[in-house]
Amino acid sequence: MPERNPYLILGVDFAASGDEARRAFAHAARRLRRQGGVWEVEDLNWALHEVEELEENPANNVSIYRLPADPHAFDPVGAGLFRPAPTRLARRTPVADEQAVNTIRAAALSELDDVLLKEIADAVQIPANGYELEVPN
Amino acid sequence: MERPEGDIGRTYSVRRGLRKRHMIRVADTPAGARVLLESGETDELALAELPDKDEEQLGDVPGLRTPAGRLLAVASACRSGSSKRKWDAETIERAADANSGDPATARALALDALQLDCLTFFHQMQLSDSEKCWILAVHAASSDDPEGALSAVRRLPASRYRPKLALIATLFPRARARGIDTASLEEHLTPFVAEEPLARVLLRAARGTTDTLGAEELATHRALLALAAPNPDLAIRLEAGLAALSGEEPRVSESASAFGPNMRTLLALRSPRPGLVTEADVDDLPLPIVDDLLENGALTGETVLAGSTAEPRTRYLTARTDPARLDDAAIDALDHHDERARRAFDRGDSDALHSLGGSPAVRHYEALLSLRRGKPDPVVLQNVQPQATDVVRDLLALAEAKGIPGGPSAALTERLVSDSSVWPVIVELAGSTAFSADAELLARHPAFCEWLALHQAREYLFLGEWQMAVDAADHCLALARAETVRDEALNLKACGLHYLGQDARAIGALEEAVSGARSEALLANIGIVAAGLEPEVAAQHLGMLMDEAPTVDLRIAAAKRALDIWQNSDPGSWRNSDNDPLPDAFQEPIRRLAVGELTLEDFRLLMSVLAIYDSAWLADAAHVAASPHKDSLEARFYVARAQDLHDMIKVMGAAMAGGQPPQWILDERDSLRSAAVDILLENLDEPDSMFGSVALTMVDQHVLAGKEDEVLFTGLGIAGVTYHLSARAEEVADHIVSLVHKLRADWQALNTEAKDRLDAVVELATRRVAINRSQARARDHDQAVDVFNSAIDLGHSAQPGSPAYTEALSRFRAVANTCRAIRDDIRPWLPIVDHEGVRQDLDRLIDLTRQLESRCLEILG
Repeated sequence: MPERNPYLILGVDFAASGDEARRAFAHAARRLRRQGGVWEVEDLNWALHEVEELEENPANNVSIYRLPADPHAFDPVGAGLFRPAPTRLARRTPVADEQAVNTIRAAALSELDDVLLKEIADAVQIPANGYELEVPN
Repeated sequence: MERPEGDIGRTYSVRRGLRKRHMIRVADTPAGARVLLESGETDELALAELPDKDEEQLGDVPGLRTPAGRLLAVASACRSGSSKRKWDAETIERAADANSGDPATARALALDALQLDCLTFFHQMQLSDSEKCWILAVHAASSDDPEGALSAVRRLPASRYRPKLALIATLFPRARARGIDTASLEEHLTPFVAEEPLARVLLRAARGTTDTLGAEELATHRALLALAAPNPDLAIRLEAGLAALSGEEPRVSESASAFGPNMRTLLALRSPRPGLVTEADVDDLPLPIVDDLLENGALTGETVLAGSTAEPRTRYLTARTDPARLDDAAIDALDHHDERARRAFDRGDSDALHSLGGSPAVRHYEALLSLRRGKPDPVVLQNVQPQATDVVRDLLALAEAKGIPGGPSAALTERLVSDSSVWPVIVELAGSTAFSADAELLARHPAFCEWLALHQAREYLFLGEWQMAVDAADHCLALARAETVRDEALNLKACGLHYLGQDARAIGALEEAVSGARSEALLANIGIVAAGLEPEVAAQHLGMLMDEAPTVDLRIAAAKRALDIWQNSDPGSWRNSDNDPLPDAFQEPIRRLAVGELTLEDFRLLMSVLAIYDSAWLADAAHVAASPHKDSLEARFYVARAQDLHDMIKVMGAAMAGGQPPQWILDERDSLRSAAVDILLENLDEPDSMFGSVALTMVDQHVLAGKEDEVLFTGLGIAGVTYHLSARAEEVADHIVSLVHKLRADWQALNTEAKDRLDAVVELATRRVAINRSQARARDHDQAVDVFNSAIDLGHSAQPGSPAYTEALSRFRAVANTCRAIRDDIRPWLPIVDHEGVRQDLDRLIDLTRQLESRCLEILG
């Protein structure tokens, strides 16, 4: 018979914390009282003691069967009711007021003027004698 | 460029004898032309008398508008010395002025003067001040000098010179780009506003007005837009900008991205279009505007976060767009209540959730947490948010059905199964083994059935139902396609098989799992399962783990486990292709691990193993050259250990000589001492043992802990070495004899109890050396007897005084000397050897030497 596996006996994943083990211990003990099972109370006590002893760094243990090998295999993917996506913060600023928009508008007008005047400047040719300059209108 | 008409300003040359005379044509006369000579004289010539023009004309400066301008160019060259001609510049300038003629020519000449930088001439010209200002303005505008041009414009009469509007239009963009004041142009623009649309645009631009464009201004802009005749893309872009400015709905095109940041922002506010506002704009926009743009969809979260650099804005904007990027401290700092509640729920931290108060979000998450923990209290229905009500109601019904045969399966609604985040809660409330995936469920929700089978397999393992676990895992394998799920199902199956005692099948399942993607957990599990069935196979997999595990600690653990399995099995059955004990199964991995990136402590651990079990490999110091610890005491010590025990003791001695040796060296010393004592005592009567020399090296290198140990090791070392030599009829060296005396002196200096403990060792060492030396002297005595007999034979037949006779006497003297030397060597042992038989042997040898010496002396007389 293989060696006993404390995590398996308690019904927790390999490398579970002491707290998880204690909760599982209570759960397993209740189940044992109600339904019985292959484990005895002594097994549960031993298992809890072992997990508490291993708590410091169980990940480096190579003598206890690792169950699961990949905990993520048990995680269904995708968001949902019990895995809500992060909550975006509601807006905390007021809607931009008239003054803020006017400031943008004034600067925008200036930018547009620049474009327009540049087009006009490019269109106007200064004649050699300087006296045949025509005003676009 | 058109050249000025006429020949005024042309130069000519004519030879008069040896001299060449140069002249310039300064005026036309009715008869011909007036020329100026270098002497200052003028002459009037008929056209036919004019010589040929010079090939190179000083006055041909590109851009000049008038013949008089040509004269100015020549005068300028003469004044500056750039020409060798010696015409008087002032005279030529006067001629130019005289040729200025009508006002149009004068204006052109003025521009020529400015072009030639003849400012004195320009200012002396007979033009009005305003005329000169205009000309200056035109000249500066043509010379890319907007500041000079506008300065000249400002000196013009405000209400005259309408063409200045066009000139200002050409100057405006450059002036603004260079930060030149344009506001002061207002008085020059106002007089023309009524009639000139351009004046209206320029005036508003000069004022920087923030007013919304009125209908009239809009029409003006549009009219000018048509006049400027831009390309169609630009026309569309400008039209969109005008619409945005006037409050109309703009038609935004791709080309709008060429606008400045403010126009793009205005367009984005009016007509949301991602890409108008870029990440480079974000920091300069007021936060409410950013929020507006986020809300209307013109800005994406990615753009905002890529561009925002200033705190605390960035933190706020991150929370607005991608709160997952913020850590808990940032969420707390923002007092982002709902996200704090969500995170507390996600962690299952009911205390943290409770501490946030009784908001709707907290009540919602507390209710879900309660369900997630398998507590289906109906009150939760009142607390969850409306969108969750139906699912929660279904979960409560599912919990009610628990215990009813077939109940949980029947209570599985479409709503529950279609949300994968609900699956763990389903299992928590009803238990994974309560469900049977029928064909219909399988068809509708294969992913759920696959996931459920995986859970069932694990649950059966937790219950110790090994066969059912194997069956559930097989069921999962029949459904699963994803490699991660299949590997895990194989792992669960292997676990069940392992506990059913079917380790060969278990290993098969695990090897199938690792054949795709290796994981340290699967490799470790193979090591565990295989250990009971086939230790060597287990060690091979642990060897892979030594190479591939993600952490050094796990690699080290694998190495320890492999060593443990190997040392607790029958090592003789393992494949081993060299002479060192370490088996092939993990020899190479442990070597690679030993010289990798390890802590010094782990390095020491593996080196200590290799020094013993793989010494031939470790004895080559080059093999540890790749280790970051290659120069450490550990490396030196264990490489020496692999090479030779004496070398190791020397490294140990050097480390201890420095004072405060590391504890591990002291531990190694203690271990060596313990092993050495055992070996020495066990092999005291073993003539082939050479371990005595190790003991003596330990003494020589001062690695022992105290005087008593030094006496013990010296005694055992002497005893061992001497016995080894005695068995080979070899004599111990004199320094061993000296060492015996030192040993006895040191022993005498010990306290009584220590002396008693070591009495036997000291006696043994003394006795063995005494015996060794007496045996050596006995051999000397035997040889002396042979010499004595040869001398008798030689002297017997020799005539006195003959060479043979002399030789015989010499031999007798040598024998006598040898006898004395033997006694001198033996006598000191008599008082220190306790063993009666040995003392008698020593006495007997002494007597024999006396007898032999006596006979020699008798013969010698």
